Amino acid sequence: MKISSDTLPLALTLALSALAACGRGEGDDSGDQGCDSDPEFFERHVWKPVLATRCISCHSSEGAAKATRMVLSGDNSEEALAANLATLREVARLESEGQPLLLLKPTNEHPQMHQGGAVLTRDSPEYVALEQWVARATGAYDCEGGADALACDQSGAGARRVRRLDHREYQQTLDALLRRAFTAPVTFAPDDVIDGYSNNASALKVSPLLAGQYREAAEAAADEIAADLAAFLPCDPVSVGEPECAAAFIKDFGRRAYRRPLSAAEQQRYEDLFKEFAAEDGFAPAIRWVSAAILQSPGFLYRTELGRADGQGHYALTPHELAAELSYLILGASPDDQLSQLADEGALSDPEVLVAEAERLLADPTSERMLHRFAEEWLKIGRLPLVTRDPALFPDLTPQLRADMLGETRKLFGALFREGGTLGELLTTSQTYLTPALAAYYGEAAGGQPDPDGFIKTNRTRGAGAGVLAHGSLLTTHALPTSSSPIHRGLVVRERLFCQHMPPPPPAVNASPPPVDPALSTRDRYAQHSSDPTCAGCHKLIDPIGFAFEHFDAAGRWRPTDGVHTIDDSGEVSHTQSTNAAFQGLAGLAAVLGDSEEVAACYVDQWSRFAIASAAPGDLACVEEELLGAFNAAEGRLDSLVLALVRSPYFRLRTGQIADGGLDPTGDTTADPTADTTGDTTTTGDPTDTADPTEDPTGGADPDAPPGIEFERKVDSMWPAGECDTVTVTNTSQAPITWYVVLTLQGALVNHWNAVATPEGDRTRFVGADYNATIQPNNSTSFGFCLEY
Amino acid sequence: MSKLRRRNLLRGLGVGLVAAPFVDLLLRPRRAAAAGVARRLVVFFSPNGTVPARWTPEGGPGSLSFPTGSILEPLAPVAEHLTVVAGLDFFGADNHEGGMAAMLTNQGSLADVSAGMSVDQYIAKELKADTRFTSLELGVQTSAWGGSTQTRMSYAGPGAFVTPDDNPAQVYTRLFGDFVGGDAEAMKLMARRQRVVDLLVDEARDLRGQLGAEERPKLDAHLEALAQVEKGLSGVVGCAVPDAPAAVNALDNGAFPEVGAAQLDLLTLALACDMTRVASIQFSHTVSPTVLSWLGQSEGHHSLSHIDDSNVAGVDQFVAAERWFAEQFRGLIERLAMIPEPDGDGTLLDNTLVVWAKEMGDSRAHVCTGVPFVLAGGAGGYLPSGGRLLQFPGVSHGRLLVSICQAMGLSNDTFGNATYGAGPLEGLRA
Repeated sequence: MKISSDTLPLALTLALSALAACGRGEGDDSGDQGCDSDPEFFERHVWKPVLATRCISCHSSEGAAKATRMVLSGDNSEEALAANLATLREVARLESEGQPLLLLKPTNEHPQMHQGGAVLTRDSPEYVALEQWVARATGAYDCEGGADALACDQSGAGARRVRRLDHREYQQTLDALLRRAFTAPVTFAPDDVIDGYSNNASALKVSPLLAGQYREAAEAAADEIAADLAAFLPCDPVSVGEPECAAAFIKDFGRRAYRRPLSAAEQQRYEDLFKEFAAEDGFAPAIRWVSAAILQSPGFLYRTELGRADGQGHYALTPHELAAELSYLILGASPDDQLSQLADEGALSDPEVLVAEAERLLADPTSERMLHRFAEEWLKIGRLPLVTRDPALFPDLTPQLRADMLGETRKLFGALFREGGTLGELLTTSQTYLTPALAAYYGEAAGGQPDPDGFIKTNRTRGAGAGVLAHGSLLTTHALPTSSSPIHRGLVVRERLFCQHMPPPPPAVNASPPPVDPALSTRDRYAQHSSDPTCAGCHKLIDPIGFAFEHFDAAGRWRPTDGVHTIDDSGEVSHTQSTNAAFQGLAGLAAVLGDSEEVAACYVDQWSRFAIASAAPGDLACVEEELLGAFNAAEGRLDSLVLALVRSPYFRLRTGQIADGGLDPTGDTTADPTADTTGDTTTTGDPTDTADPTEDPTGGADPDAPPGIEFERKVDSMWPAGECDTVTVTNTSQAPITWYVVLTLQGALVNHWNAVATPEGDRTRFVGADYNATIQPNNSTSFGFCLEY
Repeated sequence: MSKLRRRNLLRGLGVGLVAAPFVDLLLRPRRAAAAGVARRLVVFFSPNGTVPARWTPEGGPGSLSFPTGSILEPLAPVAEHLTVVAGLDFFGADNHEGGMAAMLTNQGSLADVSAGMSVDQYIAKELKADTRFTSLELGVQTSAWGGSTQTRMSYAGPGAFVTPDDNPAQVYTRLFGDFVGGDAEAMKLMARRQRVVDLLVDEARDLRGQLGAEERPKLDAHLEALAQVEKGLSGVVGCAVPDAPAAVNALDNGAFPEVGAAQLDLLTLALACDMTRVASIQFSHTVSPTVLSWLGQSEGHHSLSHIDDSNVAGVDQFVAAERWFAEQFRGLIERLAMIPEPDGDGTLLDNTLVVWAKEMGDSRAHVCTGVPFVLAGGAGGYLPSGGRLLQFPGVSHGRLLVSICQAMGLSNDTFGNATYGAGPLEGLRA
């Protein structure tokens, strides 16, 4: 499978070109889109990858959006393209409350919604292409700087951030800390799911509900420590003294929980807590409370990717941060002793050591957990245990059989990963792993001795040549309680293998599912259902793919006929950039997908979303070029992505706003590598920073901005009910500053521009918009707002 | 701090709750509510729109009755407590997700009164009630798909979902767990936990100080969460500690009715014990795959909701499912009606505003016009008794949200997108 930049999906072409502009692309002829003519840019980056695949199903003269201002022609003629360009130029100039409609609608951020739902996300290159198109249409585009619109930092650095442990990471981390399988007395509140993934850093926050649950879990874990205290104490409290032994415990257990040495302030805090509680309750109960506190502290719950200023405008992750990043990426758990020791020694700053450690961790059998998890979230099969099937129709689909189905998929992923298998093989292999029960269920003969997990390696005869597409896990999850569903199965291919977002059925259209009619096959029922032209626009993208799965019933079992009807499982892939093809049967579809550059690029995109778990604009673009290149070079080998990510600048570097109370951008880069930045800087707050937003809501707090930023607020107009102000922000320092200004507003904010506003207690924080977020030395920018009293 | 009480007045929830003698439950006087102001708000949600022709009752401003076989007919025994509100539109919203997002927000943003919060969260924040919980969100199988626009209805701010707790055993622990054991023991335990929270706040502030502006909201949220935890630790339980609910697999489709009943019991207890003034219960979520198998059904609720009128048997199944949800709503009303206010001023129901909200109107068309609402309770006199049907064709449901705010004693004249209309619904207030 060879991927050339000529035929790349837009997502990747854009990523490549942006990175070329960052000075890291080589010999990439798509890298000059910044200075494309409007028609060239439109055809290549707006029409083909966005409009022609995601919009036209509704936005056509016959589609559900035929009454909107964006009606496109699907003809492949030059005239049609020119007409579409003209239409899009007009649409690009429409605004809603100062925001371009063309950006609000497809992201479903328009106040009146997008009837087709969200078809793009803000972090997608497609969005950036539309952004550039708006700039071109409104005359705001400058081709010289245009390609910088993708916010990938020039060095490939990602955004500084903290990542709360997700619930699985928490479990695996706690198991390692306690050296046993820990069962929390509480199930944590489910996190928000972004693009199908439950580990996105932007979604992982601590709510009041979760904070209470963390408390319960931490106290239960602390009970286990207290019950087995000798195993956790690094000393004998009788011989060395209780306070001394408590301090040693805090240092040791804190080091493991925080994944770095505690700072002096942190150590002191826990020692103070110990002393207070020990005075009343004695040694062991006080250790229990100290443990409970450590296990619900931010230092345990969040891992940081903040780094230390490298003197070149970036932050290099500390050795301890790198150790955690590597270990959570590969094992989903905190660093082991060897990795921790390398971090303490500062050795991980050496990329070769880092890669060697990555290879060591990949060889650990527990690394399959992350692979399984990715597979489950990518293909959305994790919900298999809970999907409801009519027990009268599918009595054999027991909970154990469902577990076996998930096991089959896990086994195949794991085996291909270990054996150097490729994405193409994942989608087309006949090889599989079945328990005897699952083999009997499928009607396959699987002879031989099961492996220790109970699975026998065998070849599928029904569903041969269709890899994971023929797995009961996928087929059952994507079906209905009583029948197969060409729609659900077509959707999973479109959304998870092509990375295309399909809009929901438009309102006011009869979305009645085809009633079960014994006189018709499933295919005919759906064909009839989609004959309405309003429905057909979308369903012709979905159903003809879904029909390929019709030999498999709603519970994943092969069926020779659909009731009394013969099965026609031919179909067609359409509305793609380079994968359009007719096919026969599931193996035929699998062959088309397994050979598709778009599917390969989508896989890289999916894995990247899972692995870097970032919603920061540009972060995906920062890694995708590296990863796609590596994936391509490795001919689609599944094991090529992890090491490519570890080798990328993204893995080691961060950029972003400078903490006014924390790190100094010109800070101490010669610090002892064993000392951790996060520990060293906690006490150097600027006074405004120590104000507690929850404690002093009325505050009278002074305006606030980072060091080096001065600002002037001027009232432009004032009337009895309100005012409008302009704030000029100046960088008086010698380095670029990503600015913010926190103001106390004397009324409700009704409008603002050139900045993004967020309430902060009773004050309001303004940060720059994309185009003025960073101010060069001795330069200024301004923003404005209006208030109603 | 008042002395804690532990008497197992409530042996076994469910039937036990309804039969339990709720005497001497409350130990502290509550602030007297102003006339015409509700003390509490409860939001009840069930998914996937409705079939308007089978939902709409008969009646008018002073009368209410239910056609035989209609969706709301199970509410007949409690009709005197109801105000059925028909005809409201979600302006600028359509479809499952749009409806779910707009239902309690009216498309609010930072720039308007709501600041992007849902009406329950807004009211909870504005009330500043001296209760252990600012609000309580309970769910019944809301989260198998994780948190998303589809699965969440409450918002702490733009795009910030509030996650309901789907597990009755955990809700019980959250409400009463601190009070199990001797009084002195419980007091000491809370003091210890408060001290730990103090340390956690210091730690969180330190970490916050190292972050850039984009990441600080995470730690701000964490600090707010710790403040809420601390608030929960400083309260007293206003009533006897009941027995824990029976163990149940809260994720099992077949256990849906039991989970729902336990959550309604706990919600009622939380209000009876004055642990919060604002609570919600969310049954599943939009596009719900729940199969009401206990009614003999085998198709998912979402599939049933889209069946058109040509399939009479199919529509009947959906109506049967909707009638089951009406029974659950009736159960909530009955629970609240059985519990006297501690100051002798009527029942909990008399002083509570209960809102049954849905996210769409006619589900077959995926539209958010003519969205059905049922209000229940006296709302402290804001709503009259006797039962009535009010029609507001073409009116923004934002005005209902304003009415809800005003029933709770707030004075805002708009909620969410102010351009969709101002003022409360006319003729709603008694």
